[in-house]
Amino acid sequence: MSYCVNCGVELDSSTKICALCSTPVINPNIKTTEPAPVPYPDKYMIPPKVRRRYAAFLATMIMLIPNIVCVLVNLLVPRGGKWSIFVVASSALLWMMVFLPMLMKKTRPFILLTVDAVALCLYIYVFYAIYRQEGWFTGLVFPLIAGLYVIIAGMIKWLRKKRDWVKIAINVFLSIAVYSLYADFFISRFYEAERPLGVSLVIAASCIALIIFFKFVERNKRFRAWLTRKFFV
Amino acid sequence: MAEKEQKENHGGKFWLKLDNAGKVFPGQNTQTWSNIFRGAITLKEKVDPAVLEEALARVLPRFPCFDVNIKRGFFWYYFEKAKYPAPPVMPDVGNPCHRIKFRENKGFLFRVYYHERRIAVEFFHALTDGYGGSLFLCTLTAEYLRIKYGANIPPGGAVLSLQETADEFELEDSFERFASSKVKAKRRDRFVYHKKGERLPAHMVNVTTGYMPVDKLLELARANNASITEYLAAILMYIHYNIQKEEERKQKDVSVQIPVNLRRTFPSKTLRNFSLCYSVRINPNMGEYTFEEILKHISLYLRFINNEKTLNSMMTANMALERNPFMRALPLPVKWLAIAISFGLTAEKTTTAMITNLGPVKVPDEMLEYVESYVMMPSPGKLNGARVGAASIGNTFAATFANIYTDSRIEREFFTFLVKKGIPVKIESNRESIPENFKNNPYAFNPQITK
Repeated sequence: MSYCVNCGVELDSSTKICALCSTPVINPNIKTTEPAPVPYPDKYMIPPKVRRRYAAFLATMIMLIPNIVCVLVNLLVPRGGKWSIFVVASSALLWMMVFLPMLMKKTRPFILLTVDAVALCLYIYVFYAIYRQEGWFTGLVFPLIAGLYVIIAGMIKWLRKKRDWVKIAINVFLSIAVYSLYADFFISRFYEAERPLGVSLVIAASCIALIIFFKFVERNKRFRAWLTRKFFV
Repeated sequence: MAEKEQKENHGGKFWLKLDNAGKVFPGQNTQTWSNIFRGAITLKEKVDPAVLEEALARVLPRFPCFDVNIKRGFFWYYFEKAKYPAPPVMPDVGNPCHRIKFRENKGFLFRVYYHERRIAVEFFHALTDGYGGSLFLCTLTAEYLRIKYGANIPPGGAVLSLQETADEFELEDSFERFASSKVKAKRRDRFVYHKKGERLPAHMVNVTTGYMPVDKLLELARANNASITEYLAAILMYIHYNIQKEEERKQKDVSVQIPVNLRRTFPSKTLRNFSLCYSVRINPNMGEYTFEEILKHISLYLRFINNEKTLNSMMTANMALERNPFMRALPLPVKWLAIAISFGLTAEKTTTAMITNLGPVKVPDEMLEYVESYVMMPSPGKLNGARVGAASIGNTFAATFANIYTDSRIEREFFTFLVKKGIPVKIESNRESIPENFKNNPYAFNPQITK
């Protein structure tokens, strides 16, 4: 038997390093050619990962049933209008946002974001196609979704590297400010408002104030350390 | 009686409701974690798996509450007689207490392993607690020794007689029988300090067991006017208190959870769950604590609170949830979601560390000559890195850490504390057997048992 020279605990005869402090075990008095039995085997039971793709496939099949039923009923009883389109469109949106990512072998954020943006555009276009009103899709909805897509895609690309929490906060508030100005511009233009920018100025001003605060935090190390200690989670 | 109805052939099948404690555990299950604890007996000779299988087949009918599969009802989970005669006896694995799926292992909620001289049984906590598990393991080992060596081991202590059948008192939900207080205990749910660090990958756990002589440990505890449980709990609390002090952060409460076997207070023979947890805590903002102060605090607190009335009121508070008509009428998926959310938000967040001491496992002397040690390993936590299980058999006391973090500081300080007090400690661990590339990604290998 051996003892750890660091901790003082007795060690199992098979031990080569102390489990408590990683000190190597060297005992010249132990002369044995046969390896001593280890306390735990080096075989592991690692359960297989959840079969997400199978679960997504199953959910897809289950979702198809009410859709098929609704379409058939609508075709047989057309009196209520084309209401089954809304059911199918909602199911398609849900499927593309929730179950399509589960079917992918590897998560690809840009592809998923693009699919989500396209799915949302198509979903809203269904309503636009049915209740045709003056250009609200191309003049309002599409630019808003496109703008949001560009901002989120930019954030995802920027976050691929590990970033400091202060820089993340600055970028988030900057994105909110830019998007609020952008969205307000298009909304004002669509509704032909007198002033091109309204409430977005308040939002942008608040965000700029916060950005200035976080810039100060970024530069002042002592204040930053105090904040980290105070708000340690 | 409701329990009596359950025992009878109800629709041709034996079935049982889950006990009050057991009702919570299925809802806590995730893809990577289950509440599973392990009991293991180390013999003086190598284990013969064929004999162990035979012993298991003979012993299992004596424990009908373990010979079950879990089923999903509309409102609650329930147990039903298992389809298969017994679970397989398997070679041990290097990552004990990995998560359980209800359809694996032939639907059984306990797993039987062997490795060299060790027989180990892992139990899903919905089935039983540490005491019930020890009865099963000791009875299984006794039967194994009878078959293998022709040993004449009489029933007694933790070894049940196979000539008897389980009576209704062994299968009852003792919480339901004894929870009768008019006062429901209130729970303090303030979040406490946790020592975090680099986590091991999912399904992996660092297991470290320290063996020491009981008489020396008892002498040390008694010299400080404490029991072994109180002394070890104090060491655990002291270590965490010091670690938090070093971190120079806002000091949170440090608490240690100590399960207590209710069979010592209430006249229950149940083989199922019948235990509750005390939580002892200190507030470091009140001043500097020495080890002696912490030990005194724990000893006095446990002696103050550990009485029948307090335990009854705690049980009644737990039973109140189960008896609430609104709760009862909720469908199982809603209950399941509520338990999962509640467990995720609270549970271990109100406990810094845990120590569960089974105490002396009493077996007949005829069996003791074949046995070297008894190890009780608690379930690894989802947040707590220091969960300790302890038990003793003969003069050998074993304290086992189940740690989900790579850092071994808590185990090191715990055992070296005892060494410095003159207790000789022998260490056994699975840390060395985990390959380096496994530590980062066990899925890099074929996701089954390797080799």
